[in-house]
Amino acid sequence: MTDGPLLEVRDLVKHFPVKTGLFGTRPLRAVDGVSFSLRRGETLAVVGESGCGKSTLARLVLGLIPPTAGEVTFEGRSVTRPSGDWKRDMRRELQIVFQDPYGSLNPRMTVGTTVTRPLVIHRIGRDASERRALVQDLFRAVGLAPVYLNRFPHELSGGQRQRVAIARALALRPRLVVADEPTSGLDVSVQAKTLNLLKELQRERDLTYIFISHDMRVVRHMADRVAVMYLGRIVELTATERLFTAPSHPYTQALLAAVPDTDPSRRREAATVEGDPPSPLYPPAACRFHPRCPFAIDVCRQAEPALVQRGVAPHETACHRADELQVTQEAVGV
Amino acid sequence: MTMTAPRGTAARRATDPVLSIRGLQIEFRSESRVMRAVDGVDLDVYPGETVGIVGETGCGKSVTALSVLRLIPSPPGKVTARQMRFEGQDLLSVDSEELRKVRGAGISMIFQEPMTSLDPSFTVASQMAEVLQAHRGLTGSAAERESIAVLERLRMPNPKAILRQYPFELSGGMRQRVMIGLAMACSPRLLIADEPTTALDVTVQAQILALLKRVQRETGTSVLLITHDLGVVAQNCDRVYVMYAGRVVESAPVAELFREPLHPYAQALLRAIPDMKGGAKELAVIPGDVPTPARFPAGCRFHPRCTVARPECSVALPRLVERRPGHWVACYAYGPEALPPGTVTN
Repeated sequence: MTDGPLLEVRDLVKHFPVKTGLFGTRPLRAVDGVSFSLRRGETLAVVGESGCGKSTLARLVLGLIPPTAGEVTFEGRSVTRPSGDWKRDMRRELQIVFQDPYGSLNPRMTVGTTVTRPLVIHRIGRDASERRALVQDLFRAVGLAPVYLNRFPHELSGGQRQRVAIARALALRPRLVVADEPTSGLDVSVQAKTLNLLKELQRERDLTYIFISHDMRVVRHMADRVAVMYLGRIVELTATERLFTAPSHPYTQALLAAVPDTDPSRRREAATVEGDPPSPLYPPAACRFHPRCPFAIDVCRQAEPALVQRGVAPHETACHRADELQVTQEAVGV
Repeated sequence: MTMTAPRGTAARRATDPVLSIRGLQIEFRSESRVMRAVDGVDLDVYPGETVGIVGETGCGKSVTALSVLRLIPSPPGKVTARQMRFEGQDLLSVDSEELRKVRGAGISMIFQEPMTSLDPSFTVASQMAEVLQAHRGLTGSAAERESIAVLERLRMPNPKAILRQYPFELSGGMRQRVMIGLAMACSPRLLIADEPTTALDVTVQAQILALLKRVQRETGTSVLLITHDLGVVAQNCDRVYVMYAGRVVESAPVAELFREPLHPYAQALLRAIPDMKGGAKELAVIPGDVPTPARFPAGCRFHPRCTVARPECSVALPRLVERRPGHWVACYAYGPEALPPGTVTN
């Protein structure tokens, strides 16, 4: 055990070549220079809209796809270029829960078999009966009665399938779990149960989470810290409480303001930002948010702002005007 | 900017509803069984009103919306109602010619995924022209001028360029704007929007919701908004119906529902939403799962999951009772009036 970060991500870049027209290809800059570190036992949320690169980032962090540049290390060992036994062991330490459990569960296998497979592959448990007992424990841990072991995915509800996916992710006793939109597509009452379960499992099993989401409400509930992504870059990174009470990037402010308020007496008549997020194939020059930003000035069209620490509290923002905008916020008492 | 909701309950009641449904039942038949997805729904939409239907997967909200435009294929579907009237016209007995007139000019509809409603092999201009010709008899340059005008009214940037494009060339938000444009091209008196922003990013959702609000205000059309998102209801609706397992369990003016929900399901649903202010360690949950239409429990369909269930709850389906002006709830916790006439309990 070291006191250093559990996971470190340094200058991570992932470009996908995309055919454009007859002859050319262009890089799709899915992740374009991302750095952060993760403390043991914390939940870091990565939030952003479609095309911001959050799901690509998840796959890079797990070593599921190679980066174009940059590095990911888990307790000092490289995830992006693993060697020796670590190549195999890393698959136990790092796990993922996908958004759509229907697409990630084999439809021809009982869910019990699906959860047993990683145990067989990694030779955990002496024999079939010991593995069966382990899988029963896992099912109990995620709140599924043992009768479900013999069911097929289509016989389960969406919430139950997500529980199976969580059980499979936990089978190898990982230390880092990346949850990629684990509750989008679930009804709000099912979402509440799934989120409660993820929190409970984190306490019981000392898990560290990277929680990928587009839902600010879910992020608020789950995360200790939040990284806001826009077109392949982190634009703001700070503690959850601080992000929600004193956001300093205009995009974060717009994201928060766009969440429909459940209080009908606080109605919004106009949207805070106009337009759609641009394609990551053609990211705007300089600050990538400037075409949609209500506060953009000349410098925003000329230079890309770096993600830098400002003030006393840990709070990084990539915005030329972050200091002003945050002051404005505090002045009006937001 | 705040808006007072709802607009004049008393004034609204003085007029007839645009859409009035009584005793709606929607069944789906397979070889082995009959599933009743909607079972006895009453619903009114008044002129200029935005009415929400909110509920979770399988509650029957979308099929209710589809049934209004007779979009449920039969077989396997079967739609019956004591009454389903649009501006006094009986929607269940109209012939195909009358139905064609209702669709588009009277009632139009937008869906969650505009990509599946738009034809991928035609430009926006030709799809717009088709609608304008079919319902308003406009052709050629008249149709083109009107198409541009429709998009301009939605304040779309560069309408001429958008008209030349194919659906796949547009972003999700732009496609939904085009859908709204097509839906509004014939000035319908009722717009049905089925989860219109569910597939969109949150900043784009905010734009589309604001657009719907503006269109509604400028044209005076009524809107029936189907959604699973209580935030969307709070932001856009005047009145709301909460559905559970094929039934309306509560209906109320929006401000009232959010201030004081009466049905235990509506209460639980509101508590299950994570708060933007944070604070809660654990989210409130509803025990058990949503039942499928094949397995609706007897009595109140929520009773197996209800924390305040009492013996009569498993005996008979509770009726909607008006507990406050305009605020209806189907629950025995508020008194025995919810018992259907002739029910015997001990």
